Amino acid sequence: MAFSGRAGGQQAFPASHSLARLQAFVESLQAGRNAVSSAAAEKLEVAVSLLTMPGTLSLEQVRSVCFYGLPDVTPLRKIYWMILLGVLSPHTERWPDELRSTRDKYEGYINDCIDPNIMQKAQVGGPRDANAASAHSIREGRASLSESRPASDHPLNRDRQGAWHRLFEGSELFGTIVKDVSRTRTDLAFFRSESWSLPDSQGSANGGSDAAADGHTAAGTSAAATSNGAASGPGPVSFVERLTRPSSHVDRMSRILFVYARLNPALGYIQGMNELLAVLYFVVHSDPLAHDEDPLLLEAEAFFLFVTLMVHQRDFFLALDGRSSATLDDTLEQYAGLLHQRDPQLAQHLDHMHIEPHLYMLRWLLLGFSQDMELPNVIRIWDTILADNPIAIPDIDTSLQTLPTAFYIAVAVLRVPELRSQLLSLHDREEVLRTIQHFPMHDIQQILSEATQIRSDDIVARRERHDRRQQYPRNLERRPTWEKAKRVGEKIIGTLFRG
Amino acid sequence: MDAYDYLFKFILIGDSAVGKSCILTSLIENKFKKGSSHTIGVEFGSKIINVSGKRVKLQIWDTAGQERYRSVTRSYYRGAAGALIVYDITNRDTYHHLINWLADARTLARADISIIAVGNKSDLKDKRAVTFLEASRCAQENEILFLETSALTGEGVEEVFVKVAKMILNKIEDGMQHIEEGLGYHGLFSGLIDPATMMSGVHAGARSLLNEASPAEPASRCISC
Repeated sequence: MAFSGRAGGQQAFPASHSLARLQAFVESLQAGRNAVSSAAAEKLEVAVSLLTMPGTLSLEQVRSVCFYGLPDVTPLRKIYWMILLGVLSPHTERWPDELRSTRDKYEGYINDCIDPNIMQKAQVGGPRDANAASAHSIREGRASLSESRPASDHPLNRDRQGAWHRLFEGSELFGTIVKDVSRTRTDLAFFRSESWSLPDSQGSANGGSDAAADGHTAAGTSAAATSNGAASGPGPVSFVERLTRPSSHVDRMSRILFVYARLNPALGYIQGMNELLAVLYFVVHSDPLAHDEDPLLLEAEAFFLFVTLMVHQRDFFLALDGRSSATLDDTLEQYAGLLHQRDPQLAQHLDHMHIEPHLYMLRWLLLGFSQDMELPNVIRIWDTILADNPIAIPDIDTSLQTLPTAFYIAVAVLRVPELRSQLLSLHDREEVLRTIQHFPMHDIQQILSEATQIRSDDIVARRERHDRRQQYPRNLERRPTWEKAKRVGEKIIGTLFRG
Repeated sequence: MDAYDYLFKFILIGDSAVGKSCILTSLIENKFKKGSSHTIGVEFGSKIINVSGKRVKLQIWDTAGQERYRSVTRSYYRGAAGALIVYDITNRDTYHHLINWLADARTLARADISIIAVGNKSDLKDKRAVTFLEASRCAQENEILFLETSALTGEGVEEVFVKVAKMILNKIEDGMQHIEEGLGYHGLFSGLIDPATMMSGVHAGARSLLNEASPAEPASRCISC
């Protein structure tokens, strides 16, 4: 198979590039070569010194550094996020190995997802290739096809198990993904496919100067030998071509989503995943020195960040299919209660217009606000969201467990005075919803500090409730039950009238 | 807050990337939003239009087109009085799926829902893959309205909404659409919501506006589903 042409004799790969860069950066800091403002410098020193401490990192510390926002110095954020999401372990000495295995695993996944037989078919059997490919490769291809496949296996056979079926299915999936990825964050030049061509897209022009690009060109040329000039054509051929030899960020992001969808058939690809990935992909690549890095390693890092992020987002995406989880419903209910506590006037106003939280929260929760803010703000807000994501909280007492941060941020957004007064002045359901959805969330600091405040107040309130319950268990049993009964009653009444 | 005689709920449905959200933006903001991303779940808009001397307020629910969002978007159909099924004239697949969307709308919204098929991107003339004639025949066979639009130039956009609103108004006048007086809480998910009930007791300003809207006849009407 063309793709894994270089997988065998892999030499020691510069997997620790980003770590080396971090080290160099710290040294340059110490030498005073980097101009950083004094406030930022302190923040930076804390963040860097934590990572460079010998031994095992304290996840608590990593979280607390990240929660209040990381300094915008690369590749710091990427490393922090990888620790928070569990792509890297807290054992710093293992990182080089972990990074290397990240890359190898990802390469393996790609090969698994692109069935070699299918690729061969696309290369030798594709309509555009027939003329272009050399007679030799056609002969070879036909021979291998007739040997390995029964006569029933042909392009028009829509047998679900058939390789051709999988090829068309894959092509369709990839097409859907590319379509969405190409219209993701197009306001940034970084994401516009035409403006970025990666070093490994230049064929063999790179020579031996760069180990990373070299590996890629080797694979690239061998693929090109069998599938001459099919790069720009539509259909299965170009799809396999783009998967095996991505030539832009759009191609690489599409490949990540393709591999993810293939490995997770239950979830597959759902619109919105592209938005999440874009943030992670950008953070991985926003390192100015990332150009020297092996593009496949960077892609693998983005892939694993995405996979682990999806563990947290899974419930929200599953809810789209009607596979709504009880926890999500419960969390939304808790959110509604929180809004009532924090801002009864606004909450009643929204209730009165029957604006249910899920109508405006769905996008925020699914996408972590990534469609509602400028990218730098999204990244800042994700520092907090990721830091707070409970990786594994022992389920001692659920009433003590706080809501995911996104919910506190949601309350904080509605509390922004400008938006709040606007909402209170509106009396039309659709206008209110439109106003919420189109509110430019610029003042991220204000939103975050409000969210943090709401969260810490909520923690206090939960503790108090918890303690009271322990003291007077009976008395307290009654109130929540009554409140719950009231809610259930309202729900039933609502359904009756609606129906 | 402007006064109006009727309130209709409209849904915008159709395949992904056919331009539903662009049609909505074009209607409401009179501009084309370039490079807009796909709709996650649902987006909202409202606008008052004049139809046969009546002021009609449209509440528009613009839905996500991707198949995977179908079960969420379906819950938004409820009580819609009008539906725009949008396809892309440069993409035959989106046209072929029209029939599925039609079935969805008729079963999930209300049986008497007024529907228009909208062929969007009419500005892309040289990429056209669906002819005006075949689409208009298909619409006729399925007893729905049909128009082509360009969200880019704004051509046909308002017309589409007016056309559907007019159809609903005609049904009301012919007595085919059942009219009832306000039904309080019932208004929650119905397509034609009683404006007075929605406002009652909340804001005097809004109410007085409603009162001066049509002093002779009750400003509030609710058409049940």
